[in-house]
Amino acid sequence: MRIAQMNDAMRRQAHTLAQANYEAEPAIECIYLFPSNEEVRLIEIDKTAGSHNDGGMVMPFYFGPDLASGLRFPSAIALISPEDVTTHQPPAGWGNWQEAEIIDKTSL
Amino acid sequence: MPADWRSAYLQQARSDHAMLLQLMKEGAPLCHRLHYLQMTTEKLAKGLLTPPGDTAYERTHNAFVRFVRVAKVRPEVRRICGFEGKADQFTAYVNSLLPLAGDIQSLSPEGEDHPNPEYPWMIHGIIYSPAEFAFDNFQFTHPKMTKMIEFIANCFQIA
Repeated sequence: MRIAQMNDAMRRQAHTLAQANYEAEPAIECIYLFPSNEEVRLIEIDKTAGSHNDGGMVMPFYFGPDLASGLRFPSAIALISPEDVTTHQPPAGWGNWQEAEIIDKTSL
Repeated sequence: MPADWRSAYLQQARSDHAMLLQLMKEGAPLCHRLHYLQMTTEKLAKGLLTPPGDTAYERTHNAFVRFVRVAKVRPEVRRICGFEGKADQFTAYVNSLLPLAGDIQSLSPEGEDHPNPEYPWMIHGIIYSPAEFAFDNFQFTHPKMTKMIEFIANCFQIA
């Protein structure tokens, strides 16, 4: 699946979450959005995060929708170090790093 | 019966949490309170690491600290902890929990012999028992522990 095929509302939630996450954690350098219409899939590069060190695959945390917080869709998120990008693959079924959209701080 | 591994982990985490609260209320020996604190946090984090559905959980040793870091950027965790509209304060709040989160995570008995609330260990030829060890970093009356217990309880509301 490609980013352009993502549900608009889900993509908007992804961008809203990304902006909130940049504000909440200034150490986040960039955010990868992986295409999906099942859940918002974000891997966030945090220069203060320790090494992920989980057998070479990023392991995200999974959260359900939370309408009270404005989150219509479930989401999956991982915080990894900049070095982990070169040593780890995205979770199975998410695609590769090149298929993700980079949500840069300056683009928000 | 739980529907999947995620549900099973979170169900057991809730049960461990209930036992922790009971042991705290009763003033049970510190090693037992710490044991249930460590198990609660480990299963809470591992449950949230497990996607809904039938996928089995994959092992990791540092789930709780990673969860607390992620919690810092989650709007629903901020809301449930009472910091809606106060992102900076929430960030500071979670940052203040991270050192203790690391200490709690280190209570897992896995790895080289070290102080833990479950099994005796040996260091420099001396055998220690959890029942007699002071665990100086982990006083339940300390404000940072009070904050952590409250944070954990809040997280179960969104898990």
